[in-house]
Amino acid sequence: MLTFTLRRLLTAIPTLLLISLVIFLLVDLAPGSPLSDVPLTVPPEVRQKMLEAMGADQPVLVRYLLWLKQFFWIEPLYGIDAILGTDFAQGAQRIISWQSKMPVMDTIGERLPQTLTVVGTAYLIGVLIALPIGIYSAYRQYSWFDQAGTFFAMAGFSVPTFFTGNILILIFAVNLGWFPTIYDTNLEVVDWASFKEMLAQMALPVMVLALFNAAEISRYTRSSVLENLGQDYVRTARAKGMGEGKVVLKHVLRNSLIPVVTVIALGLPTVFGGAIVTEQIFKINGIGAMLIGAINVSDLPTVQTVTFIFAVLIVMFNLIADILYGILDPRIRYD
Amino acid sequence: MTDTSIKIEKVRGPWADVWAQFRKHKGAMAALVMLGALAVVCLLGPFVWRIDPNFIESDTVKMFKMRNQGPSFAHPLGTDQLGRDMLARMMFGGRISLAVGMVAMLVAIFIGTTVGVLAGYFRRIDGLLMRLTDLFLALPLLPLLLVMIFLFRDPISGVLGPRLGTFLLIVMAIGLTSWMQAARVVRGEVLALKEREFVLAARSIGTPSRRIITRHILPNVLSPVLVAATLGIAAAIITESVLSFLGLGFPPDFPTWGRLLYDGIAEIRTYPERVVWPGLAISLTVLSVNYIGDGLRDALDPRIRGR
Repeated sequence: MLTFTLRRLLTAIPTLLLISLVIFLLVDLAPGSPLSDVPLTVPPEVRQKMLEAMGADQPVLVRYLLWLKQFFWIEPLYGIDAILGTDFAQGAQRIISWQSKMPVMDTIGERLPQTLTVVGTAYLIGVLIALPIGIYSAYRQYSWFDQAGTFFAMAGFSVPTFFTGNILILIFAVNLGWFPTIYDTNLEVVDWASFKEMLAQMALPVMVLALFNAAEISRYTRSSVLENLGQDYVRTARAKGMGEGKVVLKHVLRNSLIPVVTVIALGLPTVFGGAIVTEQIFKINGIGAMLIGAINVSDLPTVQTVTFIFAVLIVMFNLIADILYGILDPRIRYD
Repeated sequence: MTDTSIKIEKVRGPWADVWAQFRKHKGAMAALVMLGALAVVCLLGPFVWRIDPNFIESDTVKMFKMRNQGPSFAHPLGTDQLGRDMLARMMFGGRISLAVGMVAMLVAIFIGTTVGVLAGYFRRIDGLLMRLTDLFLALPLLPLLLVMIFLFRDPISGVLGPRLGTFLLIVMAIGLTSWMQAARVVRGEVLALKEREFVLAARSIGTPSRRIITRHILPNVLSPVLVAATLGIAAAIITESVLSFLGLGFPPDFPTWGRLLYDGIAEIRTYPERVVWPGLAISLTVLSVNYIGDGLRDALDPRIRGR
């Protein structure tokens, strides 16, 4: 198991490096200057100095390596310093946003918790809805419940989130006035009243994302349970006189959850993508909104770093899915 | 011995079998009708409903009177914030949305099938191509799409004009980021097909690889490719509308359904129908296409077909 994990970890490193190169080059080779929002009245020699100060006049390779060093070495050092109060970084140059002139990582640190709260809750609720639906539709295949489940799953991943989100806002926020339309990121949960407020503002975005996730996961659960229900060990368990509940929930469920667990882990990055849209609808000040904001003012360091953070998340969850599969299914390990 | 009238059942081709199985899938049939209706309205509607979707009254006083009208006989879906007819715009937008879905799917399927067949057939480049596929699967696609469109929209529009430029850019960008599933499925099929007797026989009589691929491999991977293509249309339409929703899609005088929805968001409280119509159109189209894909998968699977 240890070698299996190590092997997977080692293959993740070149993947990440290649992705970082792709992202860097794509953003870097595109036309558009970092000074495009600086007024034209600024004289050329001052512009040149501004470019030099940003480091934007260096060759591509130098800037890429510098960016890698900043991302993988200097930024973690600052992170350690911030936690332990040490001084490893010693004032080294960090990745600076061209827009706010602040370290990009600081802004990400402020924004990421917002995204994680909403996305995490939504995913958890989505899984909790999806599993029972998937199991029961498989157990009663072709029943009306299964048909309805199929339809809702189909509708769930066919109706785009920006449409459901806006319809929900229209119904529950504008017409009924139950929930606020805008997510207030400054709200801190200190007492019962603010907790209720938090729940109210999270309800709509979480509902939108959870429905979308539940649709996909319930389909996977259904097909996985269906496959296992036909296996010989199920017949054996029934022949032993075991109760249906025990057969399904203990024997079948355990085996059929193996692929589902990996699907859940693999699906998380897509959810972050979906969060970009949801954040836009509900005006959540998260990492997706940060990306869109940075794109609109061509703040390249922020765009590169945030995109790369998304890539790191994807590779990380792929890794987790692989390792989980290895733990849950011993057959995989010895490939 | 005079009249041995043996009833010979009409021989059915493989596609007739597929169609017979497809017709048993009620959801898929309903979806086919729905999609057909939507497509006919979008494609033929403008010949009946002859209002220019981009017509703005040049007389300012008249234009102000035309703005934000509710449904009427002159404008069944009302007018938008500039007095343009919504029904005409919906049909115009539908054409572009469907075109984006189809062309982006074709790009994705072309790349996916090529990579899949090459990787499955030639062992030497298999490892390299599959690494490439894995790399693409690990890319954060939506952020990258946004960055690509944002960075390249203006230069390409400058060369090809805003309409064709945006169309080509979005279609290529979506195609380039969604071929991986098709490649994986095709590779798996090709790996299995390569060891089958008919391919070995073809090779033993000296058929060159190129002809084995075009004559024997490609026709046999058609069914997974068809399913992937159908689902690809749905995915492409959704992706395009997401891009439009985030403000990085088509220009307003060349709208897709996604763009129309995006334009309606600003005034959703006063005129919710301007969000509902395009949203409904996107949802129904994608739902239909997904159902058709589901039905096709069942119909093309010989294990299910006999039942």
